[in-house]
Amino acid sequence: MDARLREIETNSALSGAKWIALKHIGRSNPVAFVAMALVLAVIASLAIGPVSLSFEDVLKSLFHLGTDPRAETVVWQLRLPRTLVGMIVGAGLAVSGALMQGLFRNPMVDPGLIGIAPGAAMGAAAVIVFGNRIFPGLEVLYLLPLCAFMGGMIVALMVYRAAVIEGRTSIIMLLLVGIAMTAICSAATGFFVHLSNERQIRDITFWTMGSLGGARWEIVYVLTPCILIPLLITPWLARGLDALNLGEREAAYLGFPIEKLKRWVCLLTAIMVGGCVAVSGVVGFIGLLVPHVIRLIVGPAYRRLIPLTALGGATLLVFADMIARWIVAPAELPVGIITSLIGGPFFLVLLIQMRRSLTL
Amino acid sequence: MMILKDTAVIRRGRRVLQSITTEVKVGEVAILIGPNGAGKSTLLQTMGGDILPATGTVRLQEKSLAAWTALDLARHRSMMAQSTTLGFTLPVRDVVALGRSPFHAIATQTQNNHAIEEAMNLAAVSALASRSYNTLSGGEQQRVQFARALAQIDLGANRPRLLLLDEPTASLDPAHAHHVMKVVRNLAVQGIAVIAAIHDLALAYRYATKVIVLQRGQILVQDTPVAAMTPAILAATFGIDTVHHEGNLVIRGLAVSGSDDKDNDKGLAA
Repeated sequence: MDARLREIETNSALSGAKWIALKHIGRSNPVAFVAMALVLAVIASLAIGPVSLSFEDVLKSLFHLGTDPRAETVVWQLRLPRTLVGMIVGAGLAVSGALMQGLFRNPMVDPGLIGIAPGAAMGAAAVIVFGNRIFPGLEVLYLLPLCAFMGGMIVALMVYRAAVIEGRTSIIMLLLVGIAMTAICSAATGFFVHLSNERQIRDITFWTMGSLGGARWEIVYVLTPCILIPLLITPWLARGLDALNLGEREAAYLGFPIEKLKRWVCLLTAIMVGGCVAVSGVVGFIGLLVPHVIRLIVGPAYRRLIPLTALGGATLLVFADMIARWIVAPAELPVGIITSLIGGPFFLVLLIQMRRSLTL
Repeated sequence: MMILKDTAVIRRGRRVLQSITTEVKVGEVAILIGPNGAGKSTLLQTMGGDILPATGTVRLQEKSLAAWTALDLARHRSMMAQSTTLGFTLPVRDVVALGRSPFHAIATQTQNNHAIEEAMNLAAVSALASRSYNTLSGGEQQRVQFARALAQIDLGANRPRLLLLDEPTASLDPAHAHHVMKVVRNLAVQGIAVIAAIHDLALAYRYATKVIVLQRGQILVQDTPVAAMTPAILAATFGIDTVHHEGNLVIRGLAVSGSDDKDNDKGLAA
């Protein structure tokens, strides 16, 4: 741990102050630090919005101690489910990114890589454009997450099937077939957009940029097991993923059931990303950025990486969603724009400054 | 320890190993030599359980490799590949520590730490312990992987174990190459069977207890270094001119008439 920090420190040209801060996080308790950031982001997310609430209002409403029924309604009916969905989706996307990066042994991998996100986008676009015609009367609100999830899973399954050669999962085939399927799905999505009317185009655009606007308690109930169960399974994959860092063959020589490991990683990622994308659309950059930053702080060992990545992803998305609601209030921006806006430049600066110590 | 009987390996329809029959016992250092593409790495991977033979058997301690569980096998045989790159760089000590992963359920942290320190000592990488793996030179990385293989071999354990090394000295300077081979030779005495593919014929000649000469997927000859690495056999397989000199093998250059090895080797093998 200390050695890693020393190395980061000596190899980076980042300003001293920032690294002293990071070093401090690393040496004390990074989990406590990120958890605290998450609590702050959650409180801020509950307080900030068109109806501004004080810290006191938020706490009172949360524990039903308040005398202000309006504040309680805002917190419990609107902001709490939305914040919870933000936490779950953020954690799910970030951990999926960490898993995929471990599987591909590459820090540049995004969880959308094996076609889940583009498949889900295709499913969503299909529902938005044709949903009312095929199932008149059925509420699009429920059909959309379902079809997005199905679209993501079907495409991920096809990519996975195509990548299994003689019983072994070829990682490079996974990547290439994923790229091909992404192209096909994007073409289909584009075709649906072509057939759509103006309002539908807006819906599709909003959806493909990601938004937590659809969050409510029902979604919290359905989404939670979708993310939480895979999250609770991931610690069992940690040792195998650490060994995979050496390469598949080496990990197998160390006694790890590599085929099983790869299957589990694909399955868990597909469920988590499918679930996330189904409720929030395509929120960019979290799966790429969060594991990367956490890895710089605590190193690539998965036992530490996974919980911190989950907390970090939750924090980032809750925070970004708060900004998305606040910056153009009373309207709101798709949260994907904010995450990309925060993530893109931050990532770029990180890459440029860490260039010498990174071996990509 | 390791017994192969009529083992053949087919990859992508091509027969890359045919009717390999050999036995390597605890205490032996068996060194595979042969020109590029002779099948040395394939043979090692077959012995390690990574490649399944198309026909024939591969047995470790009287038990077919297929009958071993992956974890149990990892506790009895360790494999060092030709070169290993990391997806995400780690401090050297953490890389070596990965060699202990098969033992996480049965060894204490103290035992693991001890094994890691000892392995790093033997591979002469203790001084690099906190360095980042990806900043090391090729030779240093190779020694770190050697240390990882040693950590996995559970030094000091009583049970027989198998150490497979694929060109462990390829990127090493001469001093480190000899150091690694000496370590390997000492390990063999402590109850380990060693099988290594090595290109440096002088090293093979000096440190092997048994030399297996591979050519086009077949064993041409297997014997003591003196008997297996005669100038005639080496001229036929490698096309080089060698002499034995005071217990060492000296390579003088290309063999003058050894270029047409296709016709010669069959006769020499007999």
